[in-house]
Amino acid sequence: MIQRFLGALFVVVVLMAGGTTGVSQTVSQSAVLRGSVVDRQTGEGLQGATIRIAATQQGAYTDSRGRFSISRVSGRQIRVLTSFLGYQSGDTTIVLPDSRDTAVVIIALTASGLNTEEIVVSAGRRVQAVQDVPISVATLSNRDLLERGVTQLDEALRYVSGVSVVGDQVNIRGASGFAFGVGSRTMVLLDGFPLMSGDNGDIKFDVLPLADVERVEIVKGAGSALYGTGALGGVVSLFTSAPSEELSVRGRVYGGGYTPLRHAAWQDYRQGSTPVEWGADLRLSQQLGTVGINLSGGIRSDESYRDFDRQLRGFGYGKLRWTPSDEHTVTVSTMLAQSNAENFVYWRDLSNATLPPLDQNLSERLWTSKLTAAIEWSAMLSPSTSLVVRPGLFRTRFENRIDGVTLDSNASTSIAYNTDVQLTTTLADRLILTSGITGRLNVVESDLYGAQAQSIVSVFSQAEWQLPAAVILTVGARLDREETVSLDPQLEFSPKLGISWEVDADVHVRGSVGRGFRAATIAERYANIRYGPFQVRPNADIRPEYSWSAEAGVRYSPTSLGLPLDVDMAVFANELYDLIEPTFDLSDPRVPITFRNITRARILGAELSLRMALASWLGIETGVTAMLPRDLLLDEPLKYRNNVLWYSRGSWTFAVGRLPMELQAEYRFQNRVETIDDRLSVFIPNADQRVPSHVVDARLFARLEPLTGLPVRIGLIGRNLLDYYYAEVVANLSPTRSVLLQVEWL
Amino acid sequence: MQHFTAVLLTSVALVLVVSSCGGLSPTDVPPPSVLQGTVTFANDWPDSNVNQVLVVALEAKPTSPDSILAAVLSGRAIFSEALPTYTTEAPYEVEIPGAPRTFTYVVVAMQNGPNILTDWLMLDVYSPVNDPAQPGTVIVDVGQTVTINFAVDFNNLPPQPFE
Repeated sequence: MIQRFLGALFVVVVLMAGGTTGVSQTVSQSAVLRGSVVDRQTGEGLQGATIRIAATQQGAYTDSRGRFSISRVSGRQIRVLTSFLGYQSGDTTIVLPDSRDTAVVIIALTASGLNTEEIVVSAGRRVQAVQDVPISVATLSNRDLLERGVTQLDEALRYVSGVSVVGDQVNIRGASGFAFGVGSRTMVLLDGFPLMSGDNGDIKFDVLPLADVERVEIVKGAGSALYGTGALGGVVSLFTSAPSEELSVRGRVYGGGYTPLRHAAWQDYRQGSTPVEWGADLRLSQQLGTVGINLSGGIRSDESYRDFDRQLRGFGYGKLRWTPSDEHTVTVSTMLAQSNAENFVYWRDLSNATLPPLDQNLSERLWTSKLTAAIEWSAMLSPSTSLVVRPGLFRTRFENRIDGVTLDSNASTSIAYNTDVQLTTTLADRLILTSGITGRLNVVESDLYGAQAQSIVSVFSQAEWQLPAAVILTVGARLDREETVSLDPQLEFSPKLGISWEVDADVHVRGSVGRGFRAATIAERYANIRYGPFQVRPNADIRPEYSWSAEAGVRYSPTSLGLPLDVDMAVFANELYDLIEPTFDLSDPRVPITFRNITRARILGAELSLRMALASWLGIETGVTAMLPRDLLLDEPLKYRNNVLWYSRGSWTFAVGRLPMELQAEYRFQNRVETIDDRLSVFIPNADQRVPSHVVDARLFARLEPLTGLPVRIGLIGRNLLDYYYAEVVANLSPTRSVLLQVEWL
Repeated sequence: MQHFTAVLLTSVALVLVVSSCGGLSPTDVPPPSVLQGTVTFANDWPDSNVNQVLVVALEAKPTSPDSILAAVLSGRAIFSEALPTYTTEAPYEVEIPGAPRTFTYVVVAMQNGPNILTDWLMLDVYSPVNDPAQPGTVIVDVGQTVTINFAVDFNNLPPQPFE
């Protein structure tokens, strides 16, 4: 593959070992820069590496064979920055000749066990080095997802510093609590397209095409200045892979089961059988001329570690990318997911934690379906200006069925129509302006919520100035106008201010303050529903909740220690106003639950993340977040929040004979949630039973290619190896120990 | 390879040692604390408006009819299953969560109308001195079963707390 590149076109530029030397060759003034990023030692292409042209918005990610392409490269000299997790970064300057053509670059990176110069998009809606953004951003690569053997994204998010997952709620630095599964305070995007359901405003993890996800970015802190409603606590942004230059086929099958439970009282229902879990993914990708296509799909079956909790789901994803010219790209994508699940809401009691309540109808099933369709037109209007237009829709439906018959009283269909227009332009080399208009219309037909509609129209703009002394100043604001059938229009203004400062090559300092908000979802306003033992009644008068978050951080990535090290420290404060929470309202005791603006809260915290490579074959990573969440109205700890989140990860590469192997181990800890709503105990036995969580996962992988000549990797994956029993969600035993065998075709 | 073996063995040992302890357990459930007894009914039941009869243990004496349900929903009162009506005797048993608990007003209460908020009538009040005007305090410890028998006389109801 490398030889073909060498012979094909004009130039080879080799960036060695994270060094800063480069070799300039014959490239044009407005050229297409193509090439590949490879492991320096093996020559193997590296998938997911980031390439960025400094001081521009231009960048790319390598495909499964390590290839990339960047169009309309201009200027006499370009500085190319390359990074990849586990490798030393590359930085070189290329001198471009006059003639217009295509340049080829081969970038060889040296393994270091650590990467310190990741590229992120979500923090500013454009390509930036992570050191340049004024807010904390964490990333997960496709490799992180595959190697963990995750079946849904939420499993991987649990190992991000400052992030916890409670049910389907992603909780970034304590912003979210327990809210009956509605009203996420974390925005989720796929290739910039919002994936929040139109009725519940929740995250549908099972629709996300993990096999196609190249990278996940987690922006911590209020992000409404760019992303509007829902980004009150942060943003989780997924990016799918570009089509591969050559046919790429990847697949994965896995299977395993849950080990016997230690307590006979919980184990008895299994009657000697072992609940099994299995699944398969397949992904195809190829670029044919100007058209590239990605197709992926999969199936998951999980018999669960508890009774009445089985589920079967399937999903598919397709992306068609047409590049009629170097300046224009049109992408059409669609996703479909369906699931059939038993509906374990809460335990019978702690003595019967693996069983549903006695009054649960065991014939009941929860059927869900999700469908997305989106188009994106991306245009480079000039070397300094890009335009993205992104319309799409997201349809969700859920219904309860008994013996296959839909219960009319518990079904909901929603369609969220989204449109996003964004213009990014570089002015005078030192000022980058990102502006846009977005529109969202949620239409709901539901037995639970009635026929409802909610529209949100927004404008936003953000300017980034490159000031002297390596300071970048960011100023932005967004105006959102929300309207529903029954409410007068409401305006939300969300400003932000950020600053990042490259003190020297090793130290980067950042600071930011911004406002976040979340409009009440249709479910929160109009729910008339029984959820487990709780009867919920509507409250159309809910106002949006909002927050102010501030952060100061420093990142230390020494280049002179001879030991790859990356330390990030941050302190943060979140002031939360009018938080929408489910609460007991006794004015009508027959329907005691309603959503209201009830809480004013403050969360103060500090976060430390450390990554280091003790050797090229041994890397460690750890992150701890300490928080003081306080309900200022009740003058007590904020309910359903942890004070401490801690995770650690180690990876060790070695060889057994000719087989390259890797052992990974992860540990995460959450302290015991200090307070919950005691009134839950009236309805759910032992609802107040909770403990700290200690979870250890480990994986052992072996690449069989040296023996078989086939790109096959097998892995043995152990989850919750300590078989530690805890409850992240009230009255729900969290997953117990399971062991999976995974085989991948890479 | 030696390193690998050492780390692997250490990891396995660690898992085996720690895997036998920690976390939630079915035995974490405290032994049940129970309030139980028998309610006897003397004289004639009302002809109508007997919606439900319960034994209710309240931490504080209710000041209004709607405060009974409010106390239940806020966890400050415990109530039994509905007792059989139009009978002369009915046993009851109610599990007390969160023991030890102290109740200063334990009654047999009847919902005597359609409004669950307001239509409540006290039929008998626990009093160690057999004076319904002087309600007694009941303390239920962890794992303790407390027996209280009630004697309802429809011709001689106790003073209502919110009169």
